[in-house]
Amino acid sequence: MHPIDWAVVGAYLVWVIYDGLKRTRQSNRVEGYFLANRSLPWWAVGLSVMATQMSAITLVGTTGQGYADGLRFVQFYFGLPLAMLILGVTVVPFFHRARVFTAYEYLERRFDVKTRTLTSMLFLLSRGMSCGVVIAAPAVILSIILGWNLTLTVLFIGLPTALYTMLGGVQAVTWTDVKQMAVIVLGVGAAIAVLVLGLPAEVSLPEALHIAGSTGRLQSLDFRFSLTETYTFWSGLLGGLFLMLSYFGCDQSQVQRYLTARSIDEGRSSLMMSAYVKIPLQAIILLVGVLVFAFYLFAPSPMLFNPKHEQQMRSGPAAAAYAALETRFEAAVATREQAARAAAGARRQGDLAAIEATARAFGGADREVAQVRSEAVALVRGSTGDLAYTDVNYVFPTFIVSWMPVGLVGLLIAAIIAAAMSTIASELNSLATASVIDIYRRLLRPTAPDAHYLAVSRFATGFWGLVACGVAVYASTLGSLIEVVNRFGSFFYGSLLGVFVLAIGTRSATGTGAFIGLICGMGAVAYVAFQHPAISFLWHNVVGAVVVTMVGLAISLAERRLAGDPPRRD
Amino acid sequence: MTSPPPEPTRPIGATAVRVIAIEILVIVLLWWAGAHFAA
Repeated sequence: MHPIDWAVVGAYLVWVIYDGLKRTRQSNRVEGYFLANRSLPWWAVGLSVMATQMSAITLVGTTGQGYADGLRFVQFYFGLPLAMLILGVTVVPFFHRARVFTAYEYLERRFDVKTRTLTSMLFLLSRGMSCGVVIAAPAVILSIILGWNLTLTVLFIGLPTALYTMLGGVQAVTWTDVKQMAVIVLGVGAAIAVLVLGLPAEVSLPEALHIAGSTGRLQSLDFRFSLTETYTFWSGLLGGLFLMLSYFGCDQSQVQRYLTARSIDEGRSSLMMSAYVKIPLQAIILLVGVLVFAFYLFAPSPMLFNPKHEQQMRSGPAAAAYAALETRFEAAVATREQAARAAAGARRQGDLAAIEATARAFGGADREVAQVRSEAVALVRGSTGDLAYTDVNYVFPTFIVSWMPVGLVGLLIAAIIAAAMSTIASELNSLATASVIDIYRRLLRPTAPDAHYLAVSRFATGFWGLVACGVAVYASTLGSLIEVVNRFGSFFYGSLLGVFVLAIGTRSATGTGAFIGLICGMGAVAYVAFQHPAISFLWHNVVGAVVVTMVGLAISLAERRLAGDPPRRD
Repeated sequence: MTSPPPEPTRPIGATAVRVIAIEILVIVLLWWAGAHFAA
């Protein structure tokens, strides 16, 4: 990287860490450390909610998805606005009025301590591992793209975050999240500007979008009702609704965000920010990927975007086959560029027959480029044994270091790091909260001065920071671990939502019913995931929530009947 | 179930209508973009 880019990244880190550390004095009691004394304004909480959800995986993965597949992934978020409305009238007032520190604390008041302990432990396990993945994913990409040592990259991202979170508590988390969202939005804006200005002078933006649109990349809506197709309107609206209800309603890393708000109305408003902004923002990030595709129609494009694998293939046993593919790729890309320029020219002249003919020619040329790329990916998979290999996550970072001007490279690297740090900080803070409030204070040491719990809270934050860095270093060498972590999360989320449906939505559910229901829900999701792997993971949340609710209610009613309780209306 | 003291809140009806209306608008825009740029 150029020294100016290093200076930009350095300035960002100093700014964020200093801002986090200066919040230390505001976090001198446990309620201040974990909940900011319930004093934060809705707009800061709202930006923190968004920053927590948008990790670096979103920034590099979503842009890569836009490059490869277009806007279809935006459907994943269609259930989010309705989820925010439902949460605004259910858990937000419930948790605020209950004056809880954690979502699971509420479950003890409603059910019993074993349900609280089980759900909190599942959260700690799931979120603790996923926090490591949130560090690992950008660390792997940045270390390959920039040539950094992987372990040092993990520590570069994880340790400063753990430090300001440990010392500054949730105040540091929230106010740095606000700044990090600004850096992310600025970075995305800069990327769009460079992409649009980087088009050839004779190709306008609408013409470039028409060319990209002719490949289907701008078609975002799929109305097929298919359980096996991952991104459809229905899986996003229904499956996504359950996922968003689970994540924003039952995951402590998000619940803690709106518990810090000044009032129920401000807590609701913080969620409504996501309801209004998330889908357009996601569409814009996907559009960045589409613009990268359009940009590379007219600029030299690598066959594989992962430089490490490129080098390995060029010097490995399959070097001859790879070289042959590169020759084919260069020819295919040249043909595609000619076809793209012809298509743009025909559209400029408004000649309908020529537009149709050139669009067909471009489609054929683009398919040939895609075919060569897929053969190259297959060659890498065969040579390395990594059957899940894909270079989609490297598309945007490769574009950044190859084509962004000096200074803006630093801004985009800072944006990727900001996206990671904002998520990590919220997760570390919530892991410490659940550890101290649900486990340590509740089960191990129920009476101690506030200063003692504050010290333990800081220690817990630092502990989870080290755990996350350790998981990140280990996970970066084991691609399958990321998949295991994500699968475990999907077993957990929908089932946890079911527990909260029983807690808040029914009067007859008991602790035993919720406890057994939770285990049955996770078992049902495991059955669907392993016996019917073709079914999209978005439906797992529906399965988990429904099974937990039905089994939980059935067992609760049976328990009450055996105990001779009068029936309650739900 | 616990009965915490009620805190006054604004009605959410108007917000709900706005949120759903804006989501529908965004989805219609996405549909239009797909149809327009594919043509």
